[in-house]
Amino acid sequence: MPQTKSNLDASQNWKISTNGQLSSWRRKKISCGRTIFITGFYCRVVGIMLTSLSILLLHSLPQAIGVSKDMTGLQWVQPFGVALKAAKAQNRLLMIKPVAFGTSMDGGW
Amino acid sequence: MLRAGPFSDERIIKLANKRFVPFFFDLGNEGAAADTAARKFVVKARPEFGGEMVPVPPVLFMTPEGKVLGEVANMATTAEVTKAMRKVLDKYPQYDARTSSESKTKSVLEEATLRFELLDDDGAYKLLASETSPIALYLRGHIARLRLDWRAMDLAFKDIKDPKLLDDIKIERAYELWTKKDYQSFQGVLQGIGKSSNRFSEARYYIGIAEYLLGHKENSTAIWKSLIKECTQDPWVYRADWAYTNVMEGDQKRTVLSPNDKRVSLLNRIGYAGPKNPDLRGPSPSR
Repeated sequence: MPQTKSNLDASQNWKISTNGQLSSWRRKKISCGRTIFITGFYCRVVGIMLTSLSILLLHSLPQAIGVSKDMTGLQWVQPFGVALKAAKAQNRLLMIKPVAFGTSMDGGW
Repeated sequence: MLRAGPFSDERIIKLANKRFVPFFFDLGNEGAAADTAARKFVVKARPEFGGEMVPVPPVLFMTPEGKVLGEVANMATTAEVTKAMRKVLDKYPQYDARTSSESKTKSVLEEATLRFELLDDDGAYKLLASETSPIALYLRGHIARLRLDWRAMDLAFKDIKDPKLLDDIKIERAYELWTKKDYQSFQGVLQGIGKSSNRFSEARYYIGIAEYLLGHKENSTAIWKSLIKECTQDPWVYRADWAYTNVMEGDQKRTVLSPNDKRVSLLNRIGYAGPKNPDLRGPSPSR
């Protein structure tokens, strides 16, 4: 088959989910503004704060960074709580690879 | 080794993504992928992985309730991993059920593609018998190639004129030369795959393998090195790194891997436990 490169690895799933939450929270804030100007300004400030927060969150999660380096196309689901929920919801088996000789921040194992 | 080997195989990737929830974690507490909940879950089912010194852990197929239904060794071949995955699904068909979107009425090609991805090659091949679209013919030829049925492959490919599939066909046909160990011609065909092709990294990987098998070790490592350095990471880049590391390490036998070892891998991998890249020995049905 012609190859397709899947980018849906676990870290990107995590990012998508986080961004989704932030967006919906920001939408609620937008509806509270009194004028277009204030709302716009407020949104920009909140946006900057949320962007900074999301960057900090991403950097504080070593699993997400490690996993993002895997480009086999296997859609690793991390962390374990998310994988377990997915297996239950989809009625699938977990395919678990325990790594015994170390994992590094750059995705090495 | 798993990521460069079985986990880089097109068919294993598709089956894993369709029918399993793939998850990896570090058994140690210090690693980047350490996961306490996962460790507890696995050690409860397999206490041998709870100590300081552990055997090389296999890939475990587990229910969400914590029962191990199957496993396959860390150093297994692609064929062995494929067989283990299919075996556990055949034995416990409740985990092989179709999703609602898979069950909906679909075209013959979509159904054939799904069956192919679930490793039902016979089912897919039969469905494609009356299909005449280029992509259907391509899939039919691809299945024939995997079965080493060169006549059926030729028959499927002969009427495809779609320019988007020309590189794919070129590479599929090249596999016949690979299987027949005509490495010189094999390499010649692959040289025609350009950088813009979606099969470029695959072609470069095999050009390196052909060079190695023709006795040009330095050329082979130079080709893999440029592939790894210049291309976006993909299964073929991983496989090239495995081959490169094996060739550079020579015959030195390593039985222990440590994060503190000097790294030979161009991808900075700790090392490749287990057997060498089987392509270095030439074509093999069980790679």
